[in-house]
Amino acid sequence: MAEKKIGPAIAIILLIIAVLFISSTTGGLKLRQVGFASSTIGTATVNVSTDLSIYLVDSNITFGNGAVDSGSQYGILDSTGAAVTNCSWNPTNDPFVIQNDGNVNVNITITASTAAGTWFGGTPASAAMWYNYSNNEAGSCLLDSGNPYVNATNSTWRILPVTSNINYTCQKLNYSEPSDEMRIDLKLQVPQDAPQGLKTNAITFTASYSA
Amino acid sequence: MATVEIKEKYIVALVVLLVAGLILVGSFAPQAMPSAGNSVYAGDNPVVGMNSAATGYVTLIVDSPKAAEVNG
Repeated sequence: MAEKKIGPAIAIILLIIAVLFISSTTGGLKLRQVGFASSTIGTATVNVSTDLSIYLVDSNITFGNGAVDSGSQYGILDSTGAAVTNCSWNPTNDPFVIQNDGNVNVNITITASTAAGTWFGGTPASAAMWYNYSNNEAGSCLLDSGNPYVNATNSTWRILPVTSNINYTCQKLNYSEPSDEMRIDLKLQVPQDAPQGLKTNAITFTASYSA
Repeated sequence: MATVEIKEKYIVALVVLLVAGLILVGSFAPQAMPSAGNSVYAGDNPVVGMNSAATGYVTLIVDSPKAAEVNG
């Protein structure tokens, strides 16, 4: 009889020991804690594509009324606010302002839809138009010494073309705020014999990707 | 003999319980969680042209010299 009572007790003890052993070696009794404490890493991937976009913050230059002085071959005026020469237009500070709205640097070229001689009328040899550019926000034009057109501090007036020849206003216009705006000024030479009336010329800026 | 039979029964029961315990532990084993390599992919944004253009306008009004003198 004594042996019969000892047998179950030994079996129960062995069972308890076995369960505790399994639990301690596998963590079986701590599964919930293990689950809550574990961590994992997921990866969210978003592909940001190239967005090339420019915007004219100020898209009009308006000089108003005026005429070339009598006795002068032509009059000269520009959009920088400088004094006019041999004409009666009021000094005008009204440039184009162009902004890089994309997410890449861009080259910007400029062309006019109509040549000066045709636009103004009068003596073609006395008609001309030029452009000039500068930073409207400091650091906008990223200088490139290899390109003769790129110098944001250069006040040189360049002939405004009507063809698609490469005439840069800036080879690398920065895209990130707050340095992504250029100012483009125009200078006009109006013949004395230009016919009266409203004169409008379209100026197109084209941006292309700049590596 | 009776003692031996009883022990055998408990040993068998113990083995059964151990097997059951192992199966139970196995079923609750931590499952593989999503990890690196599982990703949320938003896809490509459409490329907005590689060239962009903007047009501005320059205007002036040419008066006759006489009108300019009057206005001036």
